[in-house]
Amino acid sequence: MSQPTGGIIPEDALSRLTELFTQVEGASKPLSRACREAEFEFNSLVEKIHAEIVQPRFSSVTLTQFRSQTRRYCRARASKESPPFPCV
Amino acid sequence: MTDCRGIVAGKTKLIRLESWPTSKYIVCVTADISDYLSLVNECQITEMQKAGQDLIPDAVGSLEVFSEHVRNVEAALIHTYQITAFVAVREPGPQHAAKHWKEMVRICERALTATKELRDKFPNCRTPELYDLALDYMLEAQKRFHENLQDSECPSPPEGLFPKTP
Repeated sequence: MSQPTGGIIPEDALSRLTELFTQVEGASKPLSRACREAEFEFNSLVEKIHAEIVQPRFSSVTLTQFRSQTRRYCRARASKESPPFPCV
Repeated sequence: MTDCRGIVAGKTKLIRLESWPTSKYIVCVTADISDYLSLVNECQITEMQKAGQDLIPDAVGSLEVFSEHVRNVEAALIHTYQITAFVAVREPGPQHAAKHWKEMVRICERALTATKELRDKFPNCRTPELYDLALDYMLEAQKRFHENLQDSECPSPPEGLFPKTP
């Protein structure tokens, strides 16, 4: 993983999480396998980061809180980066 | 959709909905595209309901007519979900995204209620499939609504956890 940029979570993880968040929240076919897989990967990555990176430094942040905070971060970032159109 | 008419008057817009000749509704709203989308969806569902009540399944041509209504509602649900997802993922704040998903839940619930009895009366017009689609989409929209609501109520992360500006 790459070095953190201003926070303790590596940039490549944040970038991937944002990509996955966009694929799930913006999915035009919510029942598709691709959407399910993206959701599974997002949750797995959040759990991994929480256990390995967040908990040792911020023990008071629960997994549920961290998931919501991550989603909020990804949403803010995705809205600035302007997610691709469905046809792209 | 000859029964549904939208009248726009300046910033405040009047929407006049005539679902059928005996029923008229005047709705005064500050309309945007989502209001018109909701109006069109409501018309599609209402028309399907009315056709379902009026048509006799054994009568010649009634299955074809009803199938067309089912197809219209199915298309409305799919398209509305796509528009909702498109808009919601571009919202910078979760509370606004939750609002979009809540409306999607409402439309699915409306379609479910309308389809519940008609799937037995017209089982060969893809009505059961429409019921399943409305149920699946409602669950997906509900999940996204609750997640965004939860996100909006979650305390801010501690300093140093995330980069300051995404």
